[in-house]
Amino acid sequence: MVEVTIDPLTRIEGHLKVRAEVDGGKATNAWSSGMMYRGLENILVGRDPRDAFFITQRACGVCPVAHATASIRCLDDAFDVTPPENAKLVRNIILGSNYLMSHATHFYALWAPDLANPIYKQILEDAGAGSVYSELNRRFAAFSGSSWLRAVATRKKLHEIIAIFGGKMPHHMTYIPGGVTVRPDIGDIVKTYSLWLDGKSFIEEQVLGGSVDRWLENKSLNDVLAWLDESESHANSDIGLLLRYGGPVEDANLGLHTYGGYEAGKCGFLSYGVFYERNGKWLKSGFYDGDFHTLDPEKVTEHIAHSWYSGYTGGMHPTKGVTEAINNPDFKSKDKYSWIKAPRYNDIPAEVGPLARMINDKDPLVLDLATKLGANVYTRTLARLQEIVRVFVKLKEWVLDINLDEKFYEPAELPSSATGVGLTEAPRGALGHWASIKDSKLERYQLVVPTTWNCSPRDSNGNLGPAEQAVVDTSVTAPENPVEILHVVRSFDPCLACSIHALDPRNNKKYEIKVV
Amino acid sequence: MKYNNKLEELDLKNVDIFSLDRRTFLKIAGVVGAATFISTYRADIVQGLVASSTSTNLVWLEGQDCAGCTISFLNGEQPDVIQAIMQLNVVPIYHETIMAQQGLFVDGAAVKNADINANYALEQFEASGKDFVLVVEGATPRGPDGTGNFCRVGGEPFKDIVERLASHSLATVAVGQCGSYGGIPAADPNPSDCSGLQFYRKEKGGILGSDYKSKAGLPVINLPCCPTHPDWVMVTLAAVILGRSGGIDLDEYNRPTAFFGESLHETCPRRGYFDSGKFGYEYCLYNLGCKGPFTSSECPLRLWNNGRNMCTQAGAPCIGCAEPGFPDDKSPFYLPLGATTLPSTGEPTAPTATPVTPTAKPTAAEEETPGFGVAAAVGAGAIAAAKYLKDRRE
Repeated sequence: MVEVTIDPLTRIEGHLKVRAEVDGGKATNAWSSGMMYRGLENILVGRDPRDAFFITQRACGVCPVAHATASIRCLDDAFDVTPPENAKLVRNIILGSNYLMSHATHFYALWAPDLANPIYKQILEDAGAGSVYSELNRRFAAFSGSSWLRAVATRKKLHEIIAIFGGKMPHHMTYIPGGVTVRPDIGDIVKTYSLWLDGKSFIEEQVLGGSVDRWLENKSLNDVLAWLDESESHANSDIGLLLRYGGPVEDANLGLHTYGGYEAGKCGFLSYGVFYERNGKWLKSGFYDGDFHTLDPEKVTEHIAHSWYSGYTGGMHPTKGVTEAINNPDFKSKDKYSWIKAPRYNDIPAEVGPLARMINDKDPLVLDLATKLGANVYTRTLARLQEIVRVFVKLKEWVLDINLDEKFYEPAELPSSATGVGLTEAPRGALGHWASIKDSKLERYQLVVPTTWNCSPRDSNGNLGPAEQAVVDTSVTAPENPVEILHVVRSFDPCLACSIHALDPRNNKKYEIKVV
Repeated sequence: MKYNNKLEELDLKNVDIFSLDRRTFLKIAGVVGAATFISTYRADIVQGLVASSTSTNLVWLEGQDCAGCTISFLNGEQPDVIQAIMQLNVVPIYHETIMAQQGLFVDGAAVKNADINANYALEQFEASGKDFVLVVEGATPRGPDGTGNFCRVGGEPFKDIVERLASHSLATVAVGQCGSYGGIPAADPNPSDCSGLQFYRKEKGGILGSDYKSKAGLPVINLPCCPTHPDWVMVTLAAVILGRSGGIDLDEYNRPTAFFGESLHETCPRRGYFDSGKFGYEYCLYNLGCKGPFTSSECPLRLWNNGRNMCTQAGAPCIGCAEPGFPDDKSPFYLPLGATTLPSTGEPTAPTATPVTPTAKPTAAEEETPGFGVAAAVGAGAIAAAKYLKDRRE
């Protein structure tokens, strides 16, 4: 048995350390540690509630819009105001553009470079597919891959859309309780549409090798296999390459579908739902643990038994929990080992992010992939790419639905005393803000963020966090280059900055999803 | 060569931007348009960098950051990051968010493979003695109890890594409000006892001490705003690479005056409404808490995200993120400086203050301090604002 320590786990946002015990070519235990503490929630106490929109965005420079959205939903709730349709559309456009920017950055700049890990050269050559390695390296290597370069250049266009509606990005400026401050004109709409077309070229030429509409006709794994056979440009697109050589399509594949999942019943999939739609949210909320459940935010608790905090035992709802940092943590310990708390839903660890969103939204393609292949690195990554295409199509609708003659703001008064909840989804998963206001100032403010769910440590009941569970039982070809563990952890798209505030080996971790 | 104000005599293609004084810089920018001006010195940068025969090593550290400055840097255009790397020989030695490697230990021992292990790659590079530019994003925590343990990377406190690398960097650049002054994590009550590199809020010292100088003989160059602007980073890197960093004129908070020399209010696209006394969300945002008059930054000239927009243009009051002391000195963000009670978020189109008439030019003394000259022009209300700002500083 050897212990592998990855510190810092790079190509994510923030500072993450992962330790894994590796025995007989498999990870047998895992510990995920957030290594930075800022105390953002304590900074918010006593401030003007409206400042939360600005300050919480600074939790994360990759998905500040998600915090903007959660905080403004929270403030709309506390100010008791419903923003007009135009404001909802502007907020959707800003959030949607950041989804696309974030997913593209994650897939191309943060996750896919591992496909060019030197370890695969020998593995693929031994499998008689040496040319596949050359192609993976040519496309996905950091700083030089052709797809890396084009994606890094294109992702900027999506931030330009946000700047049009938000002033600047990262950390946009234009949300206020009751609406938005920006007043777009027809020129802004035209420019945005033009930038959208730039994105379309990228998605159709680079990601899909074919039309967006044709891809969205795929409702099952079989449909995707037929799609791959339909044309060489499909098969040789970036998603085509990933589908064929990442998982069980070609004989010589990287086996990404064989690890990175959970033992049945040990981890659920949670989504708060996201994007305004008349009478609700476009992507639906829910909790899936083998059955679909209606979301009940009261079932969210946070544990600190294995985190460097003190103040309570067991699980506490975010509106009650406290954040008291321990001043002299033991960094070698495996008892308390992270600045991240351990959120649980109904006491069950929960994966959040595109896979959880697509499952709870009952996306037919992702449900079919997850049912047939289980939750793993392969399906988690494909769910993210599927969401890129779906959000992208929706973005155009939101832009064209803006009615320039209608209002963008509903007057709202600062309450002297109120509480608010803002639930939304960051690109990397469920995000909640909880506020209470007293004497027109913030009395408390709590954030429960995506990576707190995914990269959480053990809870009071000893349950491993989702990423820890996903690492356990992962095959590790070479402990001195544990690419499989890197694939697993990075597939969650960890984002540590805002998060701060492995059990017995198993034989079959395939997660059985019942389609209802 | 020092340029005077006779713009017509300037050969714009050969302007040495690093020797321009602030007024000339802004005048040129105003005359030829910001975009053209940027492209003018873009040529300067590119020529200089291509001409340099050696590569430039870049070590970019992230402490208590949000990666927003990295994302902003990736948003740069002309030159963008890819050009800088591919064509201008900028070699990213270490950058936690985008590098191929990761820190790696087996049974506690570092894996000695620089292609896989980021920590080892950095160690090998440091041992080579090669020059490098150090960029630090995010604040550096000193807590708990001076240990720096609130942020650890690769098994050691981030504070120790910063101090070690800064001791032999050619130049040290702090990007963003947090790297420069402490920023958001340093806001009251500063739970992690963090600081900027050479400043703690407005106070000189910080992590590296007020006497710190890099190998090129420079203090830490601060490029604040939240996040920093990619052009500022590129131009500053270019100046260092070209050996012209000594020509960068820094203000009292170590910001290049070329970028932070004048109050944002001077060039604000809504300035006309201020002068004619129209206030509210569709007009001048001063009474909604805009801190533009008290914030030194060229945002309205340079604009953000490939020249798309900036905060006040999008109807959002400036929150003063270029200034040391942000956010506490500038919040509540919707409170006009000098006002004692918060406005409720009122009807945005309704004027919320008595119109003011622009008065005579500020006195020379007022002009010395960016922002305060403007405040004087607003009349009594804004003089109170200036006093309020002063009180908050003290």
